[in-house]
Amino acid sequence: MEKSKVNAFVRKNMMWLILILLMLVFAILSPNFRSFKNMMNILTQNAYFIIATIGVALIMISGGTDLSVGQAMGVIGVSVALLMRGGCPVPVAVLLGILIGAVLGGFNGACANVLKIHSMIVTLATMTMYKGISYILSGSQSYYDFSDKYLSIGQGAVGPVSVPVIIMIVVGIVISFILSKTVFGRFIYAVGGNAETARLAGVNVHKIKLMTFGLAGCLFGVAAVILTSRGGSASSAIGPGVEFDAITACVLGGVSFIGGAGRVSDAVVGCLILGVLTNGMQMIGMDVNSQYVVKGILLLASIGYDTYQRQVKVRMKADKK
Amino acid sequence: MEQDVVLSMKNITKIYPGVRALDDVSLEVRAGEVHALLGENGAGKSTLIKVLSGAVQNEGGTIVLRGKSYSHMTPAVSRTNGIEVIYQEYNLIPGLTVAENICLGQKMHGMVDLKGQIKRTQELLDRYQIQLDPRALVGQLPPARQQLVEIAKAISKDPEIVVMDEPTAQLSLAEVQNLYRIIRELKAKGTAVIYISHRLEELFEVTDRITIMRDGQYVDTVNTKETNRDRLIALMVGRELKHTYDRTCRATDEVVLKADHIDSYVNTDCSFELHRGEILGFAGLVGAGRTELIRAIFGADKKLAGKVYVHGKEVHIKSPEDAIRCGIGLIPEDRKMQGCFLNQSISWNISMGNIRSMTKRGLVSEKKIVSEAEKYEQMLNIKTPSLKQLVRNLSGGNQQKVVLAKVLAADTEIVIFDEPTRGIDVGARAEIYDLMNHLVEMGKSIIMISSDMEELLGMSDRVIILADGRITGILNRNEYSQERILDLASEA
Repeated sequence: MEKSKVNAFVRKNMMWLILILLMLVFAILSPNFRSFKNMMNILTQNAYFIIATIGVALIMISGGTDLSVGQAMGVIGVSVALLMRGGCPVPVAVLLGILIGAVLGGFNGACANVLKIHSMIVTLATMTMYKGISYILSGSQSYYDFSDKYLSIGQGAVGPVSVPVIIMIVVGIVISFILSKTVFGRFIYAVGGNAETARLAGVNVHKIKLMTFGLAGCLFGVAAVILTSRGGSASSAIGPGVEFDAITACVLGGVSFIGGAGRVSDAVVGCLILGVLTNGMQMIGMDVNSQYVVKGILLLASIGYDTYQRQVKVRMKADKK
Repeated sequence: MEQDVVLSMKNITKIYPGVRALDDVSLEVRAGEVHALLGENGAGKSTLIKVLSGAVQNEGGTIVLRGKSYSHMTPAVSRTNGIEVIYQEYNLIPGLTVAENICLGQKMHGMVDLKGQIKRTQELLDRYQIQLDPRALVGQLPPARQQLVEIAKAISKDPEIVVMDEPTAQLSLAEVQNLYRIIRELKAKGTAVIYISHRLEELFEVTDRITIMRDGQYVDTVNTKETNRDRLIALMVGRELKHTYDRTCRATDEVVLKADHIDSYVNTDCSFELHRGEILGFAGLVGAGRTELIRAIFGADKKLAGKVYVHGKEVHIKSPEDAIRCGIGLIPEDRKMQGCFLNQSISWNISMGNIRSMTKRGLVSEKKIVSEAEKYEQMLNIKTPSLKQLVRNLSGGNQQKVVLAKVLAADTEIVIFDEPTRGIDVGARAEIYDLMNHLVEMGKSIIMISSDMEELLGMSDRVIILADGRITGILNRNEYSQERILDLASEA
């Protein structure tokens, strides 16, 4: 009895255990890694990425995929910079940036609904489109002239905790709450779990998809603001690449690629594993190219293990019957 | 005159988990004859054909072909013995031309000889007077023409036996005549044709002999010339009703749902009324358009014309959401793909029926969900150790109860059951019937689409029969019988 409980706990929190294991390994290998400062640094560095990944997780739970995240973040980052240049107050520019995110996300959702094609294909197209928009807006330039007020979003801190980390925690709690406690959240799982069943049960599937993409877009907006204010520069090149890292983190953390299952904590742990791995390998002085190889192997191993676990579960169930 | 026997299937038995799909079935086909297989939905015709083509393996019996005896077929053995099956669903490649599809798999070595392919195809089409352009892309042809490609592909291999499974389902009248001509030419060449159809008229048009099957069993083989429509129907249905259905009619005069001249992509001009407390059965053969009619009314598919009234008031149902708001609930045909969220718990599934009512200050209340789920667990007798159990792990009968609970949770007045007991074992079936009785006692009204004749006769207060997308008859409980229903259902 006790043993099966332990097993269930291990299975449910496998990725957290792997994260702890990784941290232990790096802590032993590198004194620099185990400093409190470095720990906070990992969190701060990854705050924007975790927020964007939570957005991608929302879309994946609803049964979709978004490949346009990185380019959308480019558009948002550049837009916010241009708005502030044009004299727009910081809070207004930030809010408008988040709004632009919602519009770009909503456009993806609307296209998937109207054209009745999978969002992966839609965002493959809008990814290119957003890239164009981003470069048209930026004129292929980088913008550095941010006010201190804006920079304080990414670089400020309350005590030992940086502002990006605080924002990240707030976003995580809010989205968790939406997913588990609101009707909208339940409908996201329903649509991702089985869109046809949901439709026949009276769920307005199109509306839910649109809202999910819009909400995720807001998160991409927040992520873009943190990223540009932390780095002190905005250009069209800031975002691209995030989309694949985010999907990787989601899958690693256990968000279902086919939809209907996943939690905010899954997305977070996936991001943290990637973050700790990158930071830890730097700390022990591994060269960049070897880092890629190790990352790839670890990905394969952890996802493979997870899949294997599920197969065993399936086999056991079949035996019982 | 006794012709050569080209195929003899003896004592074939095929068991699927829980069902004897074929039980000691025998079939003998002679060269140059058109031999019909006749039977209701689920009589085992398609399974028998699958055994012949090697698509499924039989457990018992022998198949004799060209003097050789086989315990079972494989697709390759079936092919080399000159058997070609034209299935209902097309096995064509839409992106290739007619000629390429027909010649596919004939020569797999060397270079593709496009000109030769087209020439050979044209010759074949000319020989059978089939009006097709060998260069046309198959995907761009209408379904009826695709059917012709399928037929041409089969006969291009000079088979000894051609099996046609419902070949006329997609064809217009003129094209059916064309098909008959092709069949007669095949016959003249000495090819045997096994012809499966629900439409009795067709059998008298083209077949020589008819083998009748019922519930997976062989009934009889008759010469077409020596029989008639009524005798065939009697042979198809001649069975005792096994279950006893304890039914008291609860129907009242009050009309709760009225469908007025409904057109859908499949249906034309369908009108009917549903009374409070009534169980209204929908009968028809596969493809008659029963599910399509109901889905159009429910807003799941597009309704092209017609009006729907609920309690005498016209309602505009454009989506299932609208239908549910009008008090209509649907328990779909495909439980797993359309009825359940398999990877969610029982209580989660039930809550999806009416999650908005299970909230407290705007937030989802797990407490309310559980109490609602417990209510239905008791009422419907859902057997499970816990309401947290994933629906995936439940039996078919319990899954169906969960779907029903989900529908009832939305305060449904009119419950539509599409094939309520498909794939459900006998015990759970009786429970579902009890529940249906219970629902009408509570003053709810039920529409029941069913392909199970016993269930239809046993449960319905009235039966509406559809054929070819039209309503061909509405029978009261005192006027219906298996024969009358089948007669109306096979009307062209």
